[in-house]
Amino acid sequence: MIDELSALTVIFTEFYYWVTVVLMFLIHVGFCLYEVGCAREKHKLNTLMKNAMLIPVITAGFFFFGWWIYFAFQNGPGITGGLKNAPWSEPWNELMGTHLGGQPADSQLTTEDTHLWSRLNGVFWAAFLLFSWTAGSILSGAVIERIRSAGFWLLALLVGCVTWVIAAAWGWSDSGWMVNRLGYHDAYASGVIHALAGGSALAILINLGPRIGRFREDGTPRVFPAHNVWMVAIGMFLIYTGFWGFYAACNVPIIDIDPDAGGTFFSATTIYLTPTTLSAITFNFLMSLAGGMIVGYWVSKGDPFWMFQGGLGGIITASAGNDLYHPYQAFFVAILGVFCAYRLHYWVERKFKLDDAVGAVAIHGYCGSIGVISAGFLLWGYPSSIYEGYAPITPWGQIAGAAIIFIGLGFIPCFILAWILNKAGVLRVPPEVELAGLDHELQDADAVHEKERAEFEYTAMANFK
Amino acid sequence: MIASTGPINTWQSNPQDIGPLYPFHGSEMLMFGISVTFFVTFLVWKFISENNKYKKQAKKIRQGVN
Repeated sequence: MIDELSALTVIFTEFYYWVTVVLMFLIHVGFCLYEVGCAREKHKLNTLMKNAMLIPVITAGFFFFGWWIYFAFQNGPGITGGLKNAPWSEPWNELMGTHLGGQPADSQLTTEDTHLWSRLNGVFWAAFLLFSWTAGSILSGAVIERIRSAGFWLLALLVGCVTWVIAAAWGWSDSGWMVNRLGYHDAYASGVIHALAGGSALAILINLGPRIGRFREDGTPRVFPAHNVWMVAIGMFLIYTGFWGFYAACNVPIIDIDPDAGGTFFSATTIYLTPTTLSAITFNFLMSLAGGMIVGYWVSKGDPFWMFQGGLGGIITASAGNDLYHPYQAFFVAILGVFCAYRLHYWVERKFKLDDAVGAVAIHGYCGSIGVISAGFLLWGYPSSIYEGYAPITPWGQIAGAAIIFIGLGFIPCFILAWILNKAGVLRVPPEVELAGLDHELQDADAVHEKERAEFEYTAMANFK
Repeated sequence: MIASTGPINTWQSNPQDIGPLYPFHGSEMLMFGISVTFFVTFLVWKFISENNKYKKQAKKIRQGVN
């Protein structure tokens, strides 16, 4: 970094992403609190461990192969070209380690690669990694109280390190084939994370089956109340907070968007390098949160669960186009998404006996898909890219994109893996253990320790007297 | 002559000439192989141990009920 402007830009960008990663960590804290709060008392420690251990499992997997997939698969491969060469993302490359940006030792790397990626590789990688944790956490909530941890971690690896990363390579990069051919637009990941994770959760739930006792003999559902509503509420507030970081992390903070015209015009851009501003997305984030909370409260007649979920669903629905929408549009799209997701959730639950413990398929899957499709109508004819020759945004491009992501990359791969795990008998805990509680062994141990402690205190007190 | 694990002997050289900073540069593929092996072993261990744990627990609960 020789000149001051480029040095300042790169180091500011490095710091910017670093801050977003710290903020996004709150999403995972929120998911843990929310999920454990929703679980019944007898399952809470297992629920916590299942989700907390997702952090190291996905992190390692994302370092080993996830990051490389994002760059290598942007052409399909086989649709707009072959596998892309991205040596800086290979898990054995020198730029995946501490590097000052000087002369590369690896012959595949250029000096430009080392200048840029020595500063940005770790923070970009971490920003994407936090999205991967989110994708895994979305699955985690839906399947609580009956899934085995090992089976779940394998499914989370598939979604967090492979399928969502392929969706991002195809539809959430400046040169992804879906952007190029379909004009796919999904600025803040309504589809590539939320619709995909919702489709994945649906596939797992079909194979996993409902919790014992969730449906009565006549097929009507029983309510399993959250064991701690304060954990649920604080968890949701933390997810909202982390979502701010998520929005910021989806932007490129500062870049010259007018290099060919000879002038200089610095702006924030989306991941597609199309211009937006932090101011605009702040308006839209809050108006979509407001729209979702109001309609969630309204349709559920004041149910706190749906009020909080509605806020999240509202943001998720509007996210695909929140780089360009007017705040009113973000507000209306959020209302539409949450209303439809609420109705669909209960219709699917009763019709197919689907036990989605936290409404993840509705809030992430349905809201995400509706959001992607809504952007196709509202942003019809807008350019999807800064590059010439790319398809513009259209309703049919967005509908095709939503289907590819929800069904092709979300539902089908997870259905196959969950089916295999189920057949192998390693997807669901035995019914005896589920009824006794996944923590019952720990509770037994606690009871023994409590008895020992009481005996010790009784003896000590007797000796003292 | 001081033994060294990495390419850095002094911080007084031109920073633009400095590339990788970590020790044992050149052994990345070996470290990758060891890490992946550890990771896969952990996942296999978890599948096996969890399966055994649930078999024992289910048996114990059934015996307790009967």
